[in-house]
Order: sequence, then structure tokens, then C-alpha cells
Amino acid sequence: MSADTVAQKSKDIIEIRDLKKYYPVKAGVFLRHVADVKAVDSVNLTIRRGECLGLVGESGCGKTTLGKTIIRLHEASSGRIYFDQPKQRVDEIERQLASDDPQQIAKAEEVRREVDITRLSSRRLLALRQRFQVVFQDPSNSLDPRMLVKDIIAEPLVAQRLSGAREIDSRVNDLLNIVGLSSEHRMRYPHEFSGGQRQRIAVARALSTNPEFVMMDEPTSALDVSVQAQILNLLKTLQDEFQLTYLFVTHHLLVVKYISNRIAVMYLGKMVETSPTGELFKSPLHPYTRALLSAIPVPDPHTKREKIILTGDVPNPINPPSGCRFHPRCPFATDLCRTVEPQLEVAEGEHMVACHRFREI
Amino acid sequence: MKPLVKTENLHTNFYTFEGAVKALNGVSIVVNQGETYALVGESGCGKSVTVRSMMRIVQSPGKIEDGRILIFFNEKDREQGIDILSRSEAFMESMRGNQISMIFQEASAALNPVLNISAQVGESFFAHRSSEMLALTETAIRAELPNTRFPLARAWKKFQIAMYERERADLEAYHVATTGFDDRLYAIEDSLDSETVREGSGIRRRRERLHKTSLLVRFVKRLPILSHYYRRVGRTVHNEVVELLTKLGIPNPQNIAERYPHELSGGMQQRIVIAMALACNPLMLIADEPTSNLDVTIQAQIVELIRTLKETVISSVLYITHDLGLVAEICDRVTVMYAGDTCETAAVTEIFDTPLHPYTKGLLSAVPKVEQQGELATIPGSVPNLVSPPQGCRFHPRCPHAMDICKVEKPQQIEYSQGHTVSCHLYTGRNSRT
Repeated sequence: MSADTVAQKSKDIIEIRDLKKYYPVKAGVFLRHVADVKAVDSVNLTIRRGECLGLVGESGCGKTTLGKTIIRLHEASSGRIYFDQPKQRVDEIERQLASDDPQQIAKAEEVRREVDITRLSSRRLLALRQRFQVVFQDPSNSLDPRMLVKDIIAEPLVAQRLSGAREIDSRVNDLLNIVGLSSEHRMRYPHEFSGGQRQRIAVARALSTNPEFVMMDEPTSALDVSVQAQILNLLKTLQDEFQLTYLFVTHHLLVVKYISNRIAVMYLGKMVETSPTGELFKSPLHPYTRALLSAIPVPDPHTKREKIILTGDVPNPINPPSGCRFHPRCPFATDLCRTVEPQLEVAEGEHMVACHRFREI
Repeated sequence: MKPLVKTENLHTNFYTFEGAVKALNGVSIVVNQGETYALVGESGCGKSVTVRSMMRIVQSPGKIEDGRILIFFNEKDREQGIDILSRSEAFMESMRGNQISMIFQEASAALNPVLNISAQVGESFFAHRSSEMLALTETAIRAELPNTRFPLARAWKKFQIAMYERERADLEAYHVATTGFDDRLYAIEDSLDSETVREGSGIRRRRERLHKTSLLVRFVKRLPILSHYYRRVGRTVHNEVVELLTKLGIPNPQNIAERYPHELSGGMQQRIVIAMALACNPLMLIADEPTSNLDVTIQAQIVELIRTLKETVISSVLYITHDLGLVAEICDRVTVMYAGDTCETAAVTEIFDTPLHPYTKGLLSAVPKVEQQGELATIPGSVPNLVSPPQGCRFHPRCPHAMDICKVEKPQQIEYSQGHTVSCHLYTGRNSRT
């Protein structure tokens, strides 16, 4: 990478503005559209270059959907995702979109077709895809059982036409070495590997195009404790070595604490709190985050902590509660929480929270 | 402390096409009365197979090859316990769900999608407490009898009562007969000469052929219209189910009892499975990864539920888990397993403070802590294939302290200090008291 390209790189690698992903619910003979599952609802998020952002939340809160929408494995319903754009440009487009002038909006829409991941044409998207990659949850499902390991790892290179047939072999060997496998593994099939090794193959595949951003969708939840530690350490060293940016989607809070610099907590399609890791664990502000943190089983029999046990289940995202979505389970809910939806606001420094009462409680 | 269930040198193999998978390699564990006990280990280490062996529900091609499983449920004449491996299948049926019951890993898979909740939870009432249910129904009908004027209705009610009485008498007779057979089996359990063994298998076969109800009752149950007399029991069971669900703190139990599993959330499904397991007030509850598919906040609810039930209803709880955090929070004693071997058994605080076995040490340092400093330690390599497990100590290829003896000889279980046993050559011939 030459010096001037580095200079061009913006500080924020991904800017998400007002992103929505609704799944239509259809019913009746004519499959009439009756409702929407609001999997991701008006999410604003910034991912900085070189950081590991942990995205946590319960199952069904939309964290995986958000991750997949960012890399456009799902089409967003509305909203903007800017990949590696300078701050001024993003601000300008946002300003134009917010204005009432139809001409300005048309102008902004024009620009969005070049910079917004949700609007890119397929050819532009393909070119961009080598800069972001993904590692899925269960490696036994994400690797094609009929392909050899070397073909699995080389597939992104072939699809992107990044290297010729001769270089591919050496590149695959390099990648295998990087993830801690050896070149003798290249002529094997995925079923011959253990879970941890399969996840290493998936990581090697993700790294093959030299990406800048990798979305990790629960990469260790299918693995055992000792193997999980191996993979986490591998991901950490790779991040340092290749200056990667991670979006680490998981529900395991201690894993996220170990690996990420910043944490975003989601609840029912909404972002409820974003904060640097240390601060979040030291002083969580949102009642949901507090309950989540207190519910982690701590592997130490001497710390008996007071647990906040939430009552009830996560509500149905088709018909989310009015106002703050957490209010039916929240011990501090007031009438304000039931009617007005709180917005994400800055609590202190980089610590943002969406709660009406975080100062009092 | 008195033991409740004990396994001695248990060997279970699975005969697959690739060869015999030696899933358990001499597992000896003791679950005491009134304690919360945990089996911890990575996937494939045999913790589920251990408890499945304890309930004798190892599925084909698995087979319990060797060892003893002793239960100490009856205090009177069972000083040395009953070896359930030599018992008949009918005996096990009366045991499962009644005195030992189990919560399975995935609640959605453990529930039958075509039956409603009431029918599924009620099944154990029918299976193990039917006599009680009949008595309840009978008293209810007897209470209604004086108010019934219409002669046909009176006759019907009297018929119902007569049938219930008959059935209860049958069940009583069945119970007497089976305990008689069981006692005879128990008496000849330890003898080895061929005559008695043949006699024993004869008794076992006869016990399995016994019917719970008499021919008359079975005949009436098949007659149209008359067979409806039994429906009243179904209603009693339904009421009992609702009561049980209320006791477990399930909101809106009337409504939930009539729903089907797919209409419930994961946490609620798990609560239903717990309700099924607790229907007969078991002495021991085996929870096979009860919370591994649930979210942290729901997990906290379920764990809290089991904890309160442990204090009120059940005597002992055996947890199977891979989550060391969970173990630290709720268990009294813990056994760490690796590849079909028990590595180490101790009180929870002791395991976390002074782990002895190298695998336990590795496992503990591989878990991310709240106050994590530096890198996570890892255990190199991965779990061996149990078709051809490593010779000697099964952990030796991954062990940082492996010696020559580890490659050839399986370490014996030794008591290192009071209540802390370990199977490792590092400690053979040593204990803290010498």
C-alpha cells in the first residue's frame, strides 16, 4: 500500500445512517403484505478504521441482520451505508438529503449511487467486495463440503480475478500458514478437519482478498472453550498484522470484552448503548445493558454478584412496544418511556446511550 | 454426606462403521444427596453419554460394556445400593421420570410438535401417578353424587367410580407384584451360578410381561361410549398440569397449557421441559446443558428457577455444561471430563483455586474472564478421535507436562486431599497429607 492511498483513507471506515431492514409478513391467499418484522430499525453507527467493534444483544435483536446488511448480503429497506468515505462528503450528502429542496435530494441520490453500499450497482459492489469480507458462525455450514480446501480459499481470488493460476497456489499456502495450518492441508475436504480448524479455513478465505473490514458473525459460538481461545488469539494477531477492522457480532459478553475496543448493544432492532469496552463494563448506563452484564456467569466462585433478573421475554419485533422498546421489562420504566422513544445521546465522551432516565438511575 | 447415585468404572462404547468409539473409559462419579453437581468438559468428552448411561437410555449403536451404576433411593434395606444395570427394563421405566428425570439440551427438540403442552406434561402424571389421579377424580365424582338427581347421570357416575376403583385395585396389585419380582431379583443379584442367572432372567421376562390393568378395564376402554368414563381423569390431569405450571411461575398457565410448542419462545419451552421433568417430584434432576441455546438474560431466569426448585422440591441436581461461569455460580461439586476420562473432582471453589490436572488448568485459563489480563492461554491441539484414543492417559498428546509413563499407563484416580480426587501421573503417589 503506497503512502498516498493511506492518506486518502478516511478515519471512519463505515458510516451507517438511519439504516432499516424490514422483513414483510405476508398472509392470506394473495399473500397480502400485512406487517413488517422490524429486524433493524433506524440504526446509526460508525465503525472506525482499525478497531474491533463488538455488537452484542440477545438472539432475535437483529445483530446478525445488521451485520449482513452492512456487507449487503441482505438488501436494506432504507438508510445509507457509506464505506470508506471522507467525513465531509458524508455530511454533505446527509445535509442534502435532509433538505426540502427536491433538486438537492436528486443530487444527493445521484452521488449515493457511487458511495452508498445500499445503492451500488452490482459491478461497483463486486469491486468493493474485495475490501470487506465475512466469517460465518458455523464453519461446517459455511464451507462447501465438495470443495477442496485450496479451492475454498482460492475462490474469492478467482471470483475477483485477483491473481493468475500460478500465483494462486503460493497465495493459498501463505494464507494457510497465516492461520496456523500447513500446506499439507490443502488437498483435503472440510469434513476431515475439526471445528477449530474449519473456522481457521473460513478465516483464511476471508483474508484471501486482503480486506480492510471483516464481519465476524459469532465466529466462536460453535466452538469449544479451548478452541475458542485459539481462534480468538488468532483473530487478534491477524488484526494487528493486517490492520483489519472487525465487526464482531456475538452474544457472549466475555468474548466480546476480550477482543473488542468498543461495544454496541442492540435490543429489538435498536441500538441502546455504544461505548468503549472498559467503560461499558465499568459503568453501564442503560438498564438493559446492566441486566445483561449482571447475568453473565462469571467463572470465579468467589464473586457472588447481585443479579438483575429481567422478567419476561424479548417482545415480538413485528409489533414492538411503543416508546422505549425495553420498557415492558425495564424496572425503571415511567410514562415517558411508554410513549416517547429515546434517541441515542452522548452521555460522556464516546459513551452513547438511548434511555430517558440514565442520569437518575 | 450420603451418596444418591454412584457410577463405578463405567465403560460405554458406540459400535460404528469406523470402529468402536470408546466414549467412556472407566467413569466413576458420585452424586451426593442434596447437592448440585456438575459435569464439565468440551463437546465429545462423554458427559452426555455418562448421564445417558445412568438413565440407561444410551441409543443404539451404543452399549454399556462394563461397570456398575448404583442408586440409593430407598433408605431401608439398600445400604449398598441397587445396581440398575442388572435390572429389568420395566424397572427402569418406573424409575425414569419418577425418581430420576432429565432435561434435555434442546427444548424445541425435546417437545413433541403435534401435542399440546397439557398433553405432554400430563404424560408423566399418567405414567407414574395414575393411581393418585384416579383417586382424585373419584373423590371429585363422589362429591358430586349427592347433588345428581337424574337417574341416568347417577348410574353413569356410579359406573365411573366403580371403574376407577377397579383400576386402582389393579394398579395396586401390579405394584405389589412388581416389587415382589424386584425383591426376588435383588436377592439373587450377586450370585453367579448359571441356575440362578437363568431364574433371574425368567423373572425379569415375567415382570416385563405384567399388565398394569386387568383385562376388564382394558376391554371397557375400547368400547364405544363406555370408554368415555376415562375422560374425567384427563381433566384431572389437565388441572394438575395447570397447577404445576403455576407453581413454576409460568405466567398465564391456563392459556399456555393449551398451546403447542411452536407458539412458545425458547425460554418458555425450556420451562415446559422443566415442568415435565418435575411432574413427579424426582429425587434427582439431570439437566443436560439446559441453557446452552438461550440468551444470557433468559439463562439467568432458568438457572434461578432450577435453583429455587432445588431448595424446595428436588434433592440433587446434576448439571452438564461446558460453561465454567455457570458452574462457578451454582454448583457445589464438579467433575472435569476429558475424552471419556474423569480428570478431576472437587468442590467448586477448590477446582477454581487449586486446579491440579493440567487439563483443568488449561480449561480454566482458556475462558475469558471479567478481568482478563494479557492473552488467553490455549490448549494446543484438539480433542482426539475416540475410535483410536491415545494410549495411556488420553490427554497426554496435548499435555505440557507429559512424561513417558503417561504414554503407556492410564493414571489411577487418587485422592489428593479431602474430597479432591485427580487422575494424573503428576500426583500419583503424592498427596497433600504426606
